[in-house]
Parts: sequence; C-alpha cells; structure tokens
Amino acid sequence: MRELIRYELKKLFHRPIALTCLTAFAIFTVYILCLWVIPFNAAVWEENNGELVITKGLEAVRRNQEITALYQGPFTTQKAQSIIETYSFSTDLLIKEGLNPQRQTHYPHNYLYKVLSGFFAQPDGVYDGTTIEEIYGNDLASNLVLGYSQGWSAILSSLPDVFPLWACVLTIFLSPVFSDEYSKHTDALILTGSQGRTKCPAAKIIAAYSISLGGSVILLGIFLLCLFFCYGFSGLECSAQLSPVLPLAHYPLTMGQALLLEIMLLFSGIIVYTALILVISALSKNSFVAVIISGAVLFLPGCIPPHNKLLYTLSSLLPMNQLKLIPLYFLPHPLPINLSDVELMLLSLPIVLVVILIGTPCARRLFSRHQVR
Amino acid sequence: MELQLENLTKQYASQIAVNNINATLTCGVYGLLGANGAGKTTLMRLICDIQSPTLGTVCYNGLNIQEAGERYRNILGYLPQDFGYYPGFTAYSFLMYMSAIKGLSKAFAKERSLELLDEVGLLQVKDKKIKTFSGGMKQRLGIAQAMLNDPKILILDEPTAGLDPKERVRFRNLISTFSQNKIVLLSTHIVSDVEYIAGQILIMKKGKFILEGKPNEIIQKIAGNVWECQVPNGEVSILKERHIISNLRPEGNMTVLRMIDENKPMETAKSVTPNLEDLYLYYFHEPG
Repeated sequence: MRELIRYELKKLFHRPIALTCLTAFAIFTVYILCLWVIPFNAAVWEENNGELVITKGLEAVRRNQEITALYQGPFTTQKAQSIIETYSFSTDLLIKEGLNPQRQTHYPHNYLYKVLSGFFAQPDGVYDGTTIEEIYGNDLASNLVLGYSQGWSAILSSLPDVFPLWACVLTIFLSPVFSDEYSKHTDALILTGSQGRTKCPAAKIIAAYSISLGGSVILLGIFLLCLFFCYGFSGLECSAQLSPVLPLAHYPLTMGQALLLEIMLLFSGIIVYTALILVISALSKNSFVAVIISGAVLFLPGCIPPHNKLLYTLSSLLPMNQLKLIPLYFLPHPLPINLSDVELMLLSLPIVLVVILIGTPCARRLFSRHQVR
Repeated sequence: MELQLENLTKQYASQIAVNNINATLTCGVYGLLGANGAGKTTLMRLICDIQSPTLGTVCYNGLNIQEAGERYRNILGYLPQDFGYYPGFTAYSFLMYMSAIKGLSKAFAKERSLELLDEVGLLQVKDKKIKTFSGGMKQRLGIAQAMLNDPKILILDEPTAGLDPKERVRFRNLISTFSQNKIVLLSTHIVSDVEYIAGQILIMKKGKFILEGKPNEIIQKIAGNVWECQVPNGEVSILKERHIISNLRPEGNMTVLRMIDENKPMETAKSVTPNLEDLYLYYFHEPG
C-alpha cells in the first residue's frame, strides 16, 4: 500500500502545471508572511521627554510586550482610561513633528493604544469617558482579559488570505487523481490489476488527503513558527474582543478559542473540498473538466448575496466560505437560525464526518466501477 | 483451464458491439481478426471485466469473472489498444508501479521487471523517461507490463501496432514461448502475426464470430477460390472492380494478380493455395 501511495504522490507531483502552481503559491505565502506576520512594518511611537521615539521591527514587538505587561489581566474601564491617557502624545509634540493633533488616534502608538483608542478615545487622543460595559455589555465586560495578542491577531487575519488560495492549488493538484487515468487511458491497466479496484483507488485517496492535509499542516506550521520566533506563544488567554481582528465579537471568546475555531473551519473546509474534488475527479472524463467543475463548486457559493441572510448563513458551511472564515467573522447578528455562532461553526465537524463517510467511498466506487471507453 | 463466453452481448445505445457470443477458450493462442468496428476491442474489455456485458457472462473455470474479482485479475494480463502510460515515469519505474497494482512483492517485481525489459529489448533504456520513447518502444513496454504477473490469461489488443518487422518477430517468439498452458487472445490487423503463432483463429464481424478454427482448417473454407493469373497492365483496373484482388505484382508489361473468386475468373487463371490474408479479404472485402 505504501508503494502505491508513493507512486500516486509521484504522479501528482510530476505535473509541471501543479509544480508551477505550488511555486506561485509558495511565493504568495512568503509575501503574506512578510506583509502580516513577520513584523517588518511594526512600529511603536512613544513620547519621551518631549521627543518622539520610534521603535521598529522586532524591537517594537518587545516594546509592545513590555507595555502590555503593565496592564495584563482582567480588563477594566480604569485600564482603558490609563492606557489612553498615558500613551497619547502631547499637542506640542504633534505640532513639533508636523502631525495633526486632531488626528492623534490615526498615528501609531503601541498595540494596546491602537486596539482601544477606537472605542475609548476621541480623534484628538483624549479619553472620551466610555466604560467597558457600554461597549461590550455587562456580561461580556466582566470576562474580558487584556494581554499581548498581536502575533495571534496576525495569524488569525492572515490565514484566511492564504487558505482559499491553497484550495485553488489543490484544485489543480487533485483534480487529475482519477480523471487523468481516464484521459491517459491508463484506467484499463489499473482496473485489470489485482489491486486496481481496491488498494489503488484507496492509495489515490490517501495520497490526495496527504497532500491537502499535509500541505495545510505545513502551512499552519510555517505561520506558527514565524509567530513563535517573532512574538512568542503567549497571549492565547486574551479576549479576542481586545484584538484588532475580532473587536465586535458578541460572545465570550479568547484568542486561543478563536484560533481553534479558525483551525477547525480551515481544516473542515479543506477536508470537505478534497472529498468533493475526489468525487468530481472520479466522475469527470478528463482533468480539465474536473478542474472546471471543482473550481465552480469552490467559487459559486461566493455569489450568494449577504442580504439573503438565511442562505448566506447556511452557505457559510460550504468549503470556500469556511476557508474565508465567514462563520467566524462575517455572519449577521443575530443569526437567522436557531443556533449560536459557535454552534453553527461546530456543525462543520459532523459535515466533515458525513463527507468522509460518503464522499470518499463514493469516489473509490465510481473509479472501481468505471466502464473503460 | 477454460474461459467460457455465454450469450455475451454488449449494446451501446442502438448499436450492438458484441452480439450473443458463445465460445469456450482453452489453453493456446487465439488470433482475433476483424475489421474496425467488428467488436474485437469491446469483446476483450468484456473478458477483462473493464466493461460490463449488457447480457451474458464470462466465466473462468465455471466462476463468473465479476464474482471472482481480485482472484480473476490475479491471473489476468491485458494490453489495451490505446496503451496509456505516465510520461514522467521511466520504463523501470512504470513496470514497478504496474507490479504494485498487480500486488506483486517488491523483490519479485524488481527481478521480473528487469527480466521482461530484457526480453522486450528495453533493458538499455530502462532509466529513460517513457515520453522519450518511440511508438514501438512504448508498445513493447505495454507488452512487458501485461506479462508482469505471469498471467494465465493474456489479452492483447493490437499488440503489434507500431512494431517494426524485427520487433514483430521478437514479439511472436516471446508469445510462443510464453503461451504454454495459458490462454492468449490477441487481436490484430496484421494477419501474418496471428498466422504464425495462433493455434486458433476467431474471425469477428458485426459483433459475432463468423468463423473459428485452426488456421489450416479455416483456410480450407476458401480452397479453390484463390487464383493467380498474369494480365496486361491495362486490364488491372477493370479486374480490380470485378474481383477481390489480394495481391498484385508488376512484371514488365504484365501484372501477376492474386484473386479471390468462387468462379475461375479467366481461362489463364491457376488455382493456388489460399492463405489467411485471402480468407480475411474474402470475408471483409467491401466492393468498390
């Protein structure tokens, strides 16, 4: 079986178009990493004895961590007020640096200031007197935890950029799994081999999942590795509402929980889509047809308009919408169905199970019983 | 060991490709002859269980091959007409892959692949990619893959297509050596290929066997119907319209014609011994 899987992988990796797509995707991933995760553009602006001190790159990350350490723990209105008042620049400094004092909150300060100023400060940087209960509600406000979560925010916001493109690469990679055998006329050779209807299609399916899941794990691993080297792993216990990615989440959610939900959605999207590609590939006469149909299955749910709330909410469980993390970030509130946001997202798990239990044997059966032409 | 075809029928929409065939194949080499569209390839696919019959069954030693499944495929070797391959694979890795599909152990597969590559004359190029091979080389590789598992039933659809005369002789010798205690069914358009090695000839037309038997026996069906005569060059075109001409050989101002006709076509014609090609033309000649 291992031999067969190895050969199936070799076949898939021997196609120039697949390798070209993979290379292009690798370049795009590096670009996204540099843009969002690796803190090349990170900067902390501070006022020190009437002078503007700018810290950049990894130094800025360290400085942000130092500042956040002072406020870490349960979030209170006092902490919000203190952060705004402590880190706002004086009008003299802004004028001296040629900056507009009325647009103070638009300039970089530090991570906490950036997250909170939108809710607690006027544009000129003055604390506006808002309490955390007014913004988050009494229930949520009492559970909020402040901490340094810049790295996790970067990961949460960059993965939905990368995974939809990874699904496109998988379309090119996996569509030929079965269909290429039909167009190359190698199906006759395979189906007359003793293992051709049993272990061979199983090996093809395992190879396909190895690529899709293996690639996804590697992709996630690369992002987490960059995160570890640049930011460290702390901050998972912080509230997602106190980060730039999920400031309006209306249910208790830590960065760790948000990350788990995101990983669950991304992987369920990839698994479901892989199963669909395999079924489509087993049904298609050649890989071109398989690519077109798989692409349509991937992209068509994107045409569902958000104002059709019920359809839009239900379509959030389709692969592309899961990969774009629509259930986590973009669903209407309240949901038009009798489920909470998290319950809706957890529906992905039984869907994955059903797809694996039905789709995978279906693809295998379609290939094994295929009538050679 | 026998392969029984019982009421075997395959219908595509309104077209019947294989029409109620009944036959029993035992050990030996069977040559399947027929024009394009006669149903040869469909019949072979039905025997290989890669197409399902509309009606009837194929049984190996009394067991329906669809029920036998893996047990049947273990003793089956098949070379399809459109032999597909993986351009990026080398000849050796292709055979190793096919061995894995046939469930052969790695050690045996290595030994067998090298042995077969040697037998089909590809050992020197075993590490070259198949995409660099000529048509004949690919065909030889196809023959090798069909024989990997030392099959008891070997089905070869147009195995000599693309082979040069030297390769065809090599192929015939290979099959003759291989075929002992096995059922070998090969289809071809090249009549001489089956004439030399086939113990039985099956002639197929419109989905049916219209003639079957040993080459010498079935050739006798047209004994007395094959003639040779010498005619002036100018008369050849007229005679071609009236008779089946199996061969013509110019000799100066005259042409020697080999004709197939139930009646003596002209006074000077001499009756000659028929061959398989004459028989083929007799059954598949289309006027005009």
